[in-house]
Amino acid sequence: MFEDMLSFPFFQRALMGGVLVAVTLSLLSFFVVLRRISFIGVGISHSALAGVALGLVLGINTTLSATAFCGLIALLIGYITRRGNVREDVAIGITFSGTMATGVILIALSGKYMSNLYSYLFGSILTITNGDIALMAVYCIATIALVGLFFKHLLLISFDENIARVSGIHVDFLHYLLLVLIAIVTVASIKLVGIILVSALLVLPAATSRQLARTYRPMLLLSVAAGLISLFTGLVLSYTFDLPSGATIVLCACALFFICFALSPRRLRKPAKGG
Amino acid sequence: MAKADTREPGEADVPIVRLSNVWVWLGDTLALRDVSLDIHENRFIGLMGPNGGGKTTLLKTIVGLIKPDRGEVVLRSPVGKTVGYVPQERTIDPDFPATAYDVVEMGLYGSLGAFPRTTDEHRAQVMEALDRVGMRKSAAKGIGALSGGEKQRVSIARAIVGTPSLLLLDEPTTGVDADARDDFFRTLQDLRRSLSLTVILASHDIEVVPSQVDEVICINQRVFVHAAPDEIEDVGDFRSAYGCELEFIAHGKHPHRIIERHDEAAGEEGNGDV
Repeated sequence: MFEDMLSFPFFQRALMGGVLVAVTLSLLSFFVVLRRISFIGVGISHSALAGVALGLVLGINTTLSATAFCGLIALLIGYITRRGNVREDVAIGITFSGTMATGVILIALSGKYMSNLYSYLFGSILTITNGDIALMAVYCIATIALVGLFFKHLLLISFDENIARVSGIHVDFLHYLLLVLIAIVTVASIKLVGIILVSALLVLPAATSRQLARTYRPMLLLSVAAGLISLFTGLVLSYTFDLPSGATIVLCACALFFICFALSPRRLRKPAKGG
Repeated sequence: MAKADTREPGEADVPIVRLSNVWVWLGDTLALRDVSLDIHENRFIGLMGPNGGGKTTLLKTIVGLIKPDRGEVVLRSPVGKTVGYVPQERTIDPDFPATAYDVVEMGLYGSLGAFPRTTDEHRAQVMEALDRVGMRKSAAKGIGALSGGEKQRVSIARAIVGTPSLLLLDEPTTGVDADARDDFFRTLQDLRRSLSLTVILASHDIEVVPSQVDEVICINQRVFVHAAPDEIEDVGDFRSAYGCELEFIAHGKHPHRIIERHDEAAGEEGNGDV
């Protein structure tokens, strides 16, 4: 059956793009979970709809418009949550709903029937082109390279921002960089898992690996493993049962999380400690 | 780990930290009012005062985490290379996936340039720092598995691994028992001597701190007392700062006079983060 699947060019493209996206999202999810900014990920990813719609209205490449718009929203959310005197959840709640509403209005104003709106929202591997694969490769490799270069500094700001500042590390730059990278990978992932569901993959891989790992190195590796397992299982099930790819991948990631949660040595040890 | 004395002639006269007429507001609250202080090299300073009196704010202002609204803070050398900062123990996330070794290694990241990579030499530095605080055997333990006192020791190892000349500690003995507290001060005195450290220790523990330090600074928004413990003739200024009754008591365990509080607030363990 697997050979059958691999014989289809669309499935080959989905697999190639999926591996790139899964590895990158898993890497970012490590920091999203450690820095407890999962809701920021939701806010950034949902703004992609307005970015795509803007591209449609202006008649420009929707990927470029989504990248620019998501990047700006990421910086705006970062600024409001750090500098504003409104609470983070309130700021993101406003931005998140505001950008979604902007996207819907722009689509309506464009007067164009957006036949592939569903695939933007929930992902569709049938729509992935060779150009999309090239874009995913550029976005994901650039993100992996930047995270790799700044890994130790990102780790320290995740541990304690004040200590990082006193150590002379540019905390604000790294925070904004991480948010912009989340925006970029969100755009790269739209065709595979969709705008609505990509935020799940910004949390689930690292949340899953945290159940099993005690320290950050195995947590990071297991996070990437969880992302890839969810991708492969999700794509196979999606193909076999003719299910939407994004939703199936996310459900597989959720199932993997609950399995690891049930088997978590950290969780199982806790009652013994208390007793 | 001991550092060579590379000072220019006369440099010892220059304070390692100088605060000049520093005012800090936190929102609408005045936290520091016209604070001027000189901290000289190799001194052990006990920064005392009531909860919410501005101890944490003063430490954060010295390390640059808070910018003064008025006045200036001058450090003899840049913060990143010369200051080790140990925040309150409760700021450490016990769920963070790191070992004691990992946490101490983080103390080197700021000095390793834009894209830090650690070497065998750095690993030896980390183990030496853990050794100095008596935590070598716990290097592989997760920080969530450490007690409050052990976490503080790891935090101190992180702060000294980069060989700073100034060490700032915020309420390091809060929540630890008397024996652990005595152990902590013994370790700290050893570190001071072996690393030639200037130490500023913020604490609300007025019974013990004066017996350990070279100078006491008592603040409540402004500086009420700045003197060597033996030079304090009466506790009137302390009383004004704390807003409660205090008196000198002679304790057998410590050679210095001890100040004790005589109100119901004496037993409070709170440590307002102001």
